[in-house]
Amino acid sequence: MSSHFESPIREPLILGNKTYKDVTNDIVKSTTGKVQPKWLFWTSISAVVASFGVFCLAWEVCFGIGTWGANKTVGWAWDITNFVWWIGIGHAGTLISAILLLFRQKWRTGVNRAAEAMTIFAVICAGLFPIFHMGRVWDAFFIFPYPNTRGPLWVNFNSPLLWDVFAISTYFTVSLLFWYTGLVPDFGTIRDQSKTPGRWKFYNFLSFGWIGTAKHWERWESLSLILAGLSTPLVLSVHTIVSFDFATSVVPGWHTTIMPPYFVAGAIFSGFAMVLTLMLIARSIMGLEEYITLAHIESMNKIILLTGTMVGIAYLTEIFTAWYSSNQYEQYAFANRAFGPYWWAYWSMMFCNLVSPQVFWIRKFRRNIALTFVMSILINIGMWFERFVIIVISLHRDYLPSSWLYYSPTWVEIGIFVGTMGIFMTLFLSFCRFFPAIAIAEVKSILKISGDQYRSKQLEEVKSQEVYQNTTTTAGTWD
Amino acid sequence: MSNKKYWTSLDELNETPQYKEQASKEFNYEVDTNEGEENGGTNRRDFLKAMGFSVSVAALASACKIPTNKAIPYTIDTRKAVPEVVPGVADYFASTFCDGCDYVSVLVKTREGRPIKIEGNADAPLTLGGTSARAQASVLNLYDVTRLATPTIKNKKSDWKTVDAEITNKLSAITQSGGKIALVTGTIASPITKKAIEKFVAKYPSTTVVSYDAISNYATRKANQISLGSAIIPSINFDKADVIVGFNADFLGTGISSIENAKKYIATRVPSKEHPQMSRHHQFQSTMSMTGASADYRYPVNPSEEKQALINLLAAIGGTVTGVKSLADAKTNEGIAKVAKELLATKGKSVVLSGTNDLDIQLLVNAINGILGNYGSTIDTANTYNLKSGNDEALATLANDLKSGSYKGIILLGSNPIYNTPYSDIFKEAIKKAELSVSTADRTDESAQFCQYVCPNSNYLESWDIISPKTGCYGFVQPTIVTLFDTRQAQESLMLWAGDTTPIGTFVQSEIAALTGGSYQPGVQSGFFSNVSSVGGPSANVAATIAAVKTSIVAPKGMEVYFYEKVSIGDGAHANNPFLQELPDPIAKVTWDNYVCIPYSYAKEKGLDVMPADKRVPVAKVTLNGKTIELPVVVQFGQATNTIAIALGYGRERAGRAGDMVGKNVYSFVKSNNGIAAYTLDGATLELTDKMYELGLNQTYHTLMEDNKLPGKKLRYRGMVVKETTLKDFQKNENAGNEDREKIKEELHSLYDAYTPNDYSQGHHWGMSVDLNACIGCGACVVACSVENNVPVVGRRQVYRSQEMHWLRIDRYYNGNPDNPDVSFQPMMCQHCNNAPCENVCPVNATNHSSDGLNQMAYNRCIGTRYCANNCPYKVRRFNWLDYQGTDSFGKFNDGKRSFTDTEAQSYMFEDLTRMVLNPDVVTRTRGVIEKCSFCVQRIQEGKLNAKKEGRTLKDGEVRTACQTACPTNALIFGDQNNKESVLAKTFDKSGRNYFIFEEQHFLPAVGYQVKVRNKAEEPVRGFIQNEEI
Repeated sequence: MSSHFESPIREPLILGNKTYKDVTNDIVKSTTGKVQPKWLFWTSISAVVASFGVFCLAWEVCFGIGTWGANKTVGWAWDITNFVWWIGIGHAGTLISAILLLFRQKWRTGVNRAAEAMTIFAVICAGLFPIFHMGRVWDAFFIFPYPNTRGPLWVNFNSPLLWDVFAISTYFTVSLLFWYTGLVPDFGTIRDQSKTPGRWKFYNFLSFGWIGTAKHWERWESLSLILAGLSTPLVLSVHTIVSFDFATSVVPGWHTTIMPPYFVAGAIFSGFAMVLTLMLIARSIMGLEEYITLAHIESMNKIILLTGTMVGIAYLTEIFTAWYSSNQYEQYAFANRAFGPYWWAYWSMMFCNLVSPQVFWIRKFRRNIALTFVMSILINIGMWFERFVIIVISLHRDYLPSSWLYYSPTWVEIGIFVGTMGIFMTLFLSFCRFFPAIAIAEVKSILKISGDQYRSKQLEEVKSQEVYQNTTTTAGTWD
Repeated sequence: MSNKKYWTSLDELNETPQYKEQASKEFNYEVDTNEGEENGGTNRRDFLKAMGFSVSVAALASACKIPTNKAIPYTIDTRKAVPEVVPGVADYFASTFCDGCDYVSVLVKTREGRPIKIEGNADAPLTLGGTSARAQASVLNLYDVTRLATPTIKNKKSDWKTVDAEITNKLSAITQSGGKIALVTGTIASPITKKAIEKFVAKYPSTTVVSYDAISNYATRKANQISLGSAIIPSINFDKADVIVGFNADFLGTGISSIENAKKYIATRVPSKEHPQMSRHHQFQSTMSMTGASADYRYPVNPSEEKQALINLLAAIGGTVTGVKSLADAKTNEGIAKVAKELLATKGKSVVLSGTNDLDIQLLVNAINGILGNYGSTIDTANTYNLKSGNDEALATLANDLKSGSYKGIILLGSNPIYNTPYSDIFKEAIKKAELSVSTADRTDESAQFCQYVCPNSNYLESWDIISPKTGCYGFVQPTIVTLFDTRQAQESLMLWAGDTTPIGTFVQSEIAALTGGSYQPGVQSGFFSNVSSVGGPSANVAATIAAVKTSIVAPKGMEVYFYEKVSIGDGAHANNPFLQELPDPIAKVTWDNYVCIPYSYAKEKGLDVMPADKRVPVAKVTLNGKTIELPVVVQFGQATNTIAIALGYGRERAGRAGDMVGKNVYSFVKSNNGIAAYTLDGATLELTDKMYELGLNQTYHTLMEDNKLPGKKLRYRGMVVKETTLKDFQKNENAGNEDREKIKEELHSLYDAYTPNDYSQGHHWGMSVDLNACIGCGACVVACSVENNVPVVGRRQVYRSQEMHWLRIDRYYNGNPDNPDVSFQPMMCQHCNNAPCENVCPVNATNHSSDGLNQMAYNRCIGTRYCANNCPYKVRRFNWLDYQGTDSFGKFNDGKRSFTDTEAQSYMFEDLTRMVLNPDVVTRTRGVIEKCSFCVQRIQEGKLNAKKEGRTLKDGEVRTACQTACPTNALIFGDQNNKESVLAKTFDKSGRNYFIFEEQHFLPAVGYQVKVRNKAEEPVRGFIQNEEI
């Protein structure tokens, strides 16, 4: 390709010597081209799974929470476990798009759009659980402090569950705005590529009539920054508030001050794992290897290693605190986690979250796609177990031994959880199909094309001229 | 809420007498009903009357069915009975509950003519206001949809005229042809029944009357025939005994007149500062019984060893008896020596008793009591029981005669021999073959289904009767509602067939009048009549008694089986009562089943999980006398090593929806030992199968010590839950076992200096005291709470899934050696914490604190997040997992008609008839809301209103919760903590035994517990301790 060796100062963020046009074509192609059978297949499966989840939800609403395995002692089980798990997953999207934007981490551009989409979909899935875990879901609106004629009856601002309502609705709103704002110029791009009037109108509507003037770009950039600024504290606050559900209670194993940082670290940890899972799938299905590079994967694995170790330290700190506190209930709660009837859940958590990410100390493993995929799945499982450990194991044996019970889920609970995965995947795959899965405008901003590409273009021209000359020569001989 | 009060007039502000008088009236205005009349015209009401009359006349004339009004069912015929029924105000009727063994004087609470609750009759002798679980639940039997609505002929509906005509014809025909008639009854404690039978026998002299008890005490009567010369069961004065020694005697739970005995027993079992004394209770038993759980010392003995133990004891106290031989277990031998020493030291102030239906054992007991001089003091042979008066020998003879086909007529007077005797097949054949077969069962039960005629008896709440549990004691039964169905009292039927057409009411009234002298009304109003003339009675003839004992003991083969009775279900007659089915066994904590109780040693040997957390237990094949049954296995701590125990009273096939196919029927294994029913067997084999069974277990963790597997042994014991001490220590220091409380109180502080807990020092501050010494674990409070507060029954499947709803439960903990542990019962209900962890976590403020210290629930506001239940340290909050009472706004998804979901509720409150039992003062809860103990807030409110109307303050003891009124041992005391004169406040402030559970956690509960004091020398053991660790 080049006549002499050049050592790259930094690995390029986008491979394959893309031009602006290439970027537009590559990314818009996935929304305009023919439906790929692979996509159709996975989307159909996801939709079927999602429908089953909806069926299970309907079943639960019709017959009652009694169709679950939750019981008089373990009032929350898979429902809140899944809720916290999904919320945690959402965190990576916000972190990538907001915090990394503020820190000017250019590498995020390849993944931030999908990560933000993941956040939105994960929060949708998460939101289902606190709503449907209510015994009387039809009265769910009681949790909003709306004006009413019931006199002094008002929501209880002391309840962490109420804080959750505000935290999550804010989080969802800001994330949605942020995500959509990013999409606006890209919708404009898709609109410009449209070949039918209907499609043109549709994307024009979505892009709010974006025409890419300097004023547009200026406003767009300031809005992005403001929203990033707004989102940044949310990364910390949402999971902190979720952790208050536990930290402010009196249940041994819940009532600990370590909960907020521990939950935030865990959320970022699980979020990155999920981003990786999705990216690796999208990368192979949509053929985006040149946009989501090994460098991305390695960066994310580094964050996983960091947050995983933080989470692990939190686990060990909890054990230390329990011992140091001399609080018998606390001590028992942790002994019971490790050696009680649910020991397997605890050790699964320990292995997946603390032990297994340690392989990422080694560069080779950080850059190994298959291993990264396996690890991302393991971490997702481990983080699910973490929430299960915190919720179910703490509850099933708390103060009075007479009430100690075992909990196991029913098909309805499992069905709802699997169903949310279906909902999530359906939404995500639809997103990949109809929306630009990679932020076109932002990726273009990091394309280092001016020098390199011009030169290679020249080189190619030279080459083609040579070919032309050769062919003419040959042709001449034929003549 | 603010306490601002706006006055509406100057009179109100000044509280003038006129105003007070006016305010005390609920409707202080006159209604003018005569409007319009003055003008000479027809007024509105007259017009309506005329309209109503003409419409109904037209309806009658056209022979149409009069449309049924489905509004409030005023089932009382107000013309005859009580014209003063006021809607919304309860009426109480004195009555008597008796099922042949259990006897309780009750007050029946009726609302708008419906009996809805049973209360104890505190004025009545014997039971003194105490009730049993069965009595509490009996109100639901009235509304049982399985009851027959009409008499039947060959299981087809008929009417009384036809049935009576046919039966009398056949009876006459049989008598004329010289055929014999068998009248098979249960225990007859009713003089009315006796007279009715006399009349019947006079008319049909070829009648043989056989009365039997499904679970019999006949051996006691027979032994007393030998020892005392009369076949009696004496009264036991537990209150006069310093030492009580029981041999498989469950006198507190399933024994004869257990409520009366529990009252007497507990009189000397609760020490106080003023009177730091307790009787001592030793119990020799084959399986852990409720009574054994209350004992100070327990010695597990196999059924075959009981006789040997008694022989040894008799010899040890100086009786001349042959056959003395040490038992295998050294501890039991030591125990016998110790007991003998104590008995000799308390001669005349002790009692030895056995519940085993074995002649030799009862004779030995009589001999021991005779030598100790207990007759006349603790054993009263002058006042004897009419309860459990069945005759095993007569039943055996009858069965023999039935085989030969000599009886042409069989009348089952409330008995069910096909179900509850070992002669099931004989009765079935005989009934099928008989020329006349009649049953007076209230449903087509196992026996009635084969009878030609079923003449349904009325429920006791619809009946007139007299029950005489004991010599000179009479309890009166009066109807509290007209018969719901076309049923008739069995006594009336008998009298009718004998040609006496006196209505039963008239007959009973005249009998009561004759008994009490004068009018029948005062007697019926008080509900009882007592005419106890003498106490004491003759003593046993020791020499003759010992001479009659066969001291030879046949060594048992294989495993021994001990058939026992459960305090909830009893002999199985009330099996279709879901309240009783769902009441957990006090010891095993299992609902809705009988099972094989296996000793701990056996479970350990077989490597079974002794505390299966997932409630799945193996099924065992038990082979007895060549017959095999399969039952789940439950480890019973404290059971004798070579014994298995199975409860009788289960496996009903035709009891009704709740009772059918619950457990297995083991009556067929009851064998006859020289004509006396023996409830023990040997030669059993037990074989564990691979099958697993999902048990309706109420408690899966049985000790206060946490897992042995876990590290940190020192910190494992949760002694702050059940504090206990010994009498010796208590006598030295009234804070014994409770010493840490001072320190806790001192160190109690909040992290927030500015924080002051809510102040309840003004007005009322409700609280409750639970005496762990007084609680015998019977479960009457649990059922009373369920009935009073419309607490749903959920069925076995839901109990297995730990989704039961009991607001009040009795936790049972074991301590010590699992082969013979100490037992503690702890009633647990909402603690109404002043710092309630449940309150601050509710997002919608559905649960909060009232100004009088109640933790209250606004069901309408609850959205069911269950956060409060999670945060409750006492785990007393209950969630409506499913629609249990048909109150779901989404329609009846859980009405039991869908069998495709295994998670559905077994709803027992869906039929309109059953729902009549619901307490109208307590709202039924919909699916998806949390509920819990409210301290019977409806009763508090009623008490407060009454006091207010009368312009006075509430008196202590005026408001009593349902659990408190039900308790036979006064273990629960409810009251106002701010009323320093109240029993509760005195207990809280002055009793050294008072403590609060998890007090150091600063929840500030309003329920105090009294330290359990055991009258034993050994210090309390902490947790389960294996043999090798001791």
